[in-house]
Amino acid sequence: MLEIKNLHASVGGDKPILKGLDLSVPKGEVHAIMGPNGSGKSTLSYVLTGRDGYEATDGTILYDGEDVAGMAPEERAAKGLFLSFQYPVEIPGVPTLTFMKEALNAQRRARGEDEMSAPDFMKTVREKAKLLNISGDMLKRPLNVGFSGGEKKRLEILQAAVLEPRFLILDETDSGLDIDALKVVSDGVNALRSPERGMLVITHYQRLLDHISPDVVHVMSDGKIVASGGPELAKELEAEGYDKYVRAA
Amino acid sequence: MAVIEPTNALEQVLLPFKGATGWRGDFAARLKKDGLPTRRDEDWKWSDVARATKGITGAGKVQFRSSVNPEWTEVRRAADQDFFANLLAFAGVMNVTYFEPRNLTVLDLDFRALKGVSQAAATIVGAPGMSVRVHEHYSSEAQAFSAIGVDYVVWPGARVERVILIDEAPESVLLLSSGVTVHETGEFVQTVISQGGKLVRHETQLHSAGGGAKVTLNAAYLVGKGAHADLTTRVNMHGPDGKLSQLTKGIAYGGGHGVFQGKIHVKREAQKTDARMTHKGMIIDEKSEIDAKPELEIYADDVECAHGNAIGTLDEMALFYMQQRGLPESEARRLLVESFLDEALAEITHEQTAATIRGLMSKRLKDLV
Repeated sequence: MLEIKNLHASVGGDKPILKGLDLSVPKGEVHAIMGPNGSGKSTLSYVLTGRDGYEATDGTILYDGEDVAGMAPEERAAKGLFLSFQYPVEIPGVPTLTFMKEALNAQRRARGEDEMSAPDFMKTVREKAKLLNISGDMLKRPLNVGFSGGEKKRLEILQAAVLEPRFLILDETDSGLDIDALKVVSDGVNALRSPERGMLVITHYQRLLDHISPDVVHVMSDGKIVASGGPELAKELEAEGYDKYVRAA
Repeated sequence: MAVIEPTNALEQVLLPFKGATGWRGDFAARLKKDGLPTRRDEDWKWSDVARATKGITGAGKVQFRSSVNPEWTEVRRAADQDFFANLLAFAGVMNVTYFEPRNLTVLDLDFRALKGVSQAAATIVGAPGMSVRVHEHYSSEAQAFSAIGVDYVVWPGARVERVILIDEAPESVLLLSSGVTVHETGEFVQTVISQGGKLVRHETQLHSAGGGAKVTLNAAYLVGKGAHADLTTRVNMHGPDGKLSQLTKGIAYGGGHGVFQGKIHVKREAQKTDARMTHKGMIIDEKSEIDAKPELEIYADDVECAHGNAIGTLDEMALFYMQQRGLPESEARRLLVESFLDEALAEITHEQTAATIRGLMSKRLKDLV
């Protein structure tokens, strides 16, 4: 589903961050990427989703067989790529519900589908918000403004649930969460697992992977995948740290 | 006898003053000597009227319509009053349009400046204990230079809500000025929406008596290519216990120029004044400019006064976030800008009016992207 080959990328045009990254995530699988600070994990998430200034300088990103490297972020979104942000952005003046409805219908228009009616949208959101403990009141507030860390992350997952992307990238979704919030968010993510959907879970810590059990764990260091293995690899990293991989890179 | 036709805006402005006496004569003499404001005048350093009105001449006219019939009253002024734009407007009319709504809650005023040089003036009185909402709309033909003065008097217990929509033609110049007096326990709430013209200045000089008087001055400006919007206010707090809340927000794009000048003057007698002034500007590209000068002048020692000024650009991370969720870049930019300006519209109580204004702004912002 996602095939990355020899990906090189730089930030702001000159600083190389990704240095020949290879990664393959078949549909239906959940892959985790772990790695120390500065290894290029967040850069990878931005390059995949098309953030301005994060350019692929070499290699290919094939998503469902199609090269997405030159596409605008909204085109990639409409094709089903979703990034749950490490730091969801506060947007004053735009009510959360309005934003979600505009986003959903913009994606639908881009795919040539009919827009969702307001009553259908409300029904969908209400059902999904319940599972994530998100109140109707919270949805009326401006997007992410004044939300706690946990509320922001829950709202990211709610957006994923409503937009129904085909591939999710979760960038440090566990950061800023207490144990209870981690469970709610993880349950939300697990509810989205499906044979048709792929996921890439970026994290520093094993604790998220106790809740979202990955099929494959990759270790990233200095812009490359330096090791891959089963869930036991995450446990090994938790016990022994990244040292040996950092030295090897 | 040969008639000398005016060849520029200043000569055209001066023409009706020939033989004028009293304060009009004094003002004409001052105008003849100093000319129209240029950037050399401190108060006008970012808004050069002499330059902007170059090439505009001929007698123009302000077409005026109102939802009720006005009364008329004689204009009284002092030429040494330091409020140029307001003097210019009031000097140009012999009788001023006058409203004192008593059995009325809404007053609609429409001013349309035709090509050429023109002046118009009105006074609106909020009678004691009355509440009135006034909607003013300004537009123009191309090549118009108009000075329009609309003064307000808010008597004790009166509440006046004023919404001003300025939608000037690209080649036109408008100097819109307001002298406002708010008496004790009166309330004056003003929201200005200025979308520019070649040069549009909205200037408010307000005197608050204190004694529980409440004043809100909000404004939003959006200036695109070739447009210039200047929001200038001077608020004088005369007595104790007066409140002022002021928020101006604006965006400049495509070479537009925004100006905010705000001054709060708190007299020694105006203890317990609570005054806050904020300006936030957003510059979308390198071709555009915003200049701001917020000032506090405080002579009382027991007051709470604050001013803030911030000028930034569009939040690229917010833009990316919205695009990542599927919004096209143009729509994301429009939504971000609209939401930025929206805070300044919060005091418009009439929902339909607010919706109309949002619609007009939205339309204007289409050429932003």
